[in-house]
Amino acid sequence: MANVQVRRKESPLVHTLLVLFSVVMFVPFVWLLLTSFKQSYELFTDPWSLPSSLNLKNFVTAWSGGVRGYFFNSVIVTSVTVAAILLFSSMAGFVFARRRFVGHSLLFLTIVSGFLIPVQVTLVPLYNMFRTFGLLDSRLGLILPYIAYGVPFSVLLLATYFQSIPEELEQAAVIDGCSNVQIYHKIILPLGRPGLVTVLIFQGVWIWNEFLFALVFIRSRELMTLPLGLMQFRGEYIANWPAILAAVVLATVPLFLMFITFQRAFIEGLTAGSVKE
Amino acid sequence: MSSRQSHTAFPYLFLAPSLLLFALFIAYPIAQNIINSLFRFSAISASRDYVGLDNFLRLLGDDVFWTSLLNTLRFAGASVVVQVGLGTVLAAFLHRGVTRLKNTYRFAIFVPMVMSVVAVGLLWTLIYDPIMGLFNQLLSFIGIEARGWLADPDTAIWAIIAAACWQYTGFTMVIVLAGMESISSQLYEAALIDGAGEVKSFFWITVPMVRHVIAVAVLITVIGSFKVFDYVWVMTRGGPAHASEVMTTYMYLLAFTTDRMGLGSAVASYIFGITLTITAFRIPSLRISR
Repeated sequence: MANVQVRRKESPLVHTLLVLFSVVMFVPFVWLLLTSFKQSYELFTDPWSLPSSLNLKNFVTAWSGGVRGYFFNSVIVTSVTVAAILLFSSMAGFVFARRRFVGHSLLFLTIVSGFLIPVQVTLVPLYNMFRTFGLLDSRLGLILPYIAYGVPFSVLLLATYFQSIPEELEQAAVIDGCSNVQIYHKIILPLGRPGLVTVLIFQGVWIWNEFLFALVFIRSRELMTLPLGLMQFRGEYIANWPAILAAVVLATVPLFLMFITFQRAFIEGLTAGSVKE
Repeated sequence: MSSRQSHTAFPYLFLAPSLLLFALFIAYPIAQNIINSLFRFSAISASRDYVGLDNFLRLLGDDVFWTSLLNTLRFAGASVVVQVGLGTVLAAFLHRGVTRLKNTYRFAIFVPMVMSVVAVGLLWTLIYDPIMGLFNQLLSFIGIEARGWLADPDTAIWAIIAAACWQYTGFTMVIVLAGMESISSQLYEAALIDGAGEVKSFFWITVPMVRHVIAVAVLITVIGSFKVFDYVWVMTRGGPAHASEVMTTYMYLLAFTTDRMGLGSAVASYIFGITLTITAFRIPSLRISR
């Protein structure tokens, strides 16, 4: 039986197909990287050639042509938003997982239903609301809806995760005289770390890459996050594709490096939505 | 269970930020959007006329609206076939066909997921370029003439869908693979003793055992297609001549480019109605026991 199993587990045909498919998936990446080192004329004469030299000119052009600012804005917006999402959704997840109170199921369904809503549906009202309150074209006007749309799914994930933490620990803490806030802070947060990491990755990637809210709410170049900034950059450097692709590379590098380093956590984080059914 | 009934305000205090955010930025705008759909108004003037269902009816007589709906359905259909279909086959390959290099393949196929859609859109815009693009170069090897895939009304939407499939097939593959890995290997051993080959095992064991996961993947993919905006906006802006318009880009065009906010809101209400109907099938699974 055992050797049958081993024989079936390595099919040369399947390996060949997977290698071919992986190559197809990877070619655009390689081409992206090659092109970002090229000069414009090289792209016109022979798109397949290696760049004539490994100079970083395009990256310098992109970085000083605005990407530095967009990068900075994305770091600010993403870190503030993710921190707020982690705080609010872990608080809500804790009480949903650990406390009984009037309206438990109804409130849970209400909050969690938020992740099923396509953001487009709320775009015009949010735009008008932010215009009234002077939040258009401000970081806060971007961060607030990001938090609001990040919380529902994070609550679902964390409530489910926190339920798996043994309840005995909490009972012992109560006997020792711990308050609700201390239980949350000293037991739930430390033991719930893997769940928090999943939320961090899922929401971090989403916000780093979010485009539509940014497009509608942000006008000034100084406040643009990377996806919006890439479009701005493209508008300013229309024919200079190597520089545009260098900007694309710069915007992607942080997530790519993190993905390589934390591959397992990343794949779990990005697919969390579907597996946790 | 021994969880304590709270008689204090504590749970509500801890829920307050989440509830407040939900009320302000999700619930209120949804209600407001439905109301907005019944008015004719713009961002630049103060006038606001009640028009009843006129916006909804006007859209039904609007060819571009139907094009955008059709393209959205094309997006959903093609994505289900490629992302879920191909994703499932690839997952089965990784599940039953190989053990060595499995993580490497999974990495290579999943990695486009970490790019932003805007970055993917820009990359593929150049890939489809008739002169400099990778795609036409490849096609020229097999004798197919170069053309502007994104500039041609017949091919634009399909070219965009292909880019989306490049990014998302690995995502579906990983989801389905996770489901497959929970299947007991004894089932396959039993099938082997009964003389079933791998192909038979795939159809008679693997697919039935992961049908719930596949159903979830189909739902996610279909709902995702109704939310697609970035790909189209970056690659064609819905052009040429609205040929690649999807519902969200048409909504954006009406509300924010031509400043007919009532009409734009009505498109958003249609999107809301359709996705709500589809997700209604899913809501029963959103429960937490306590």
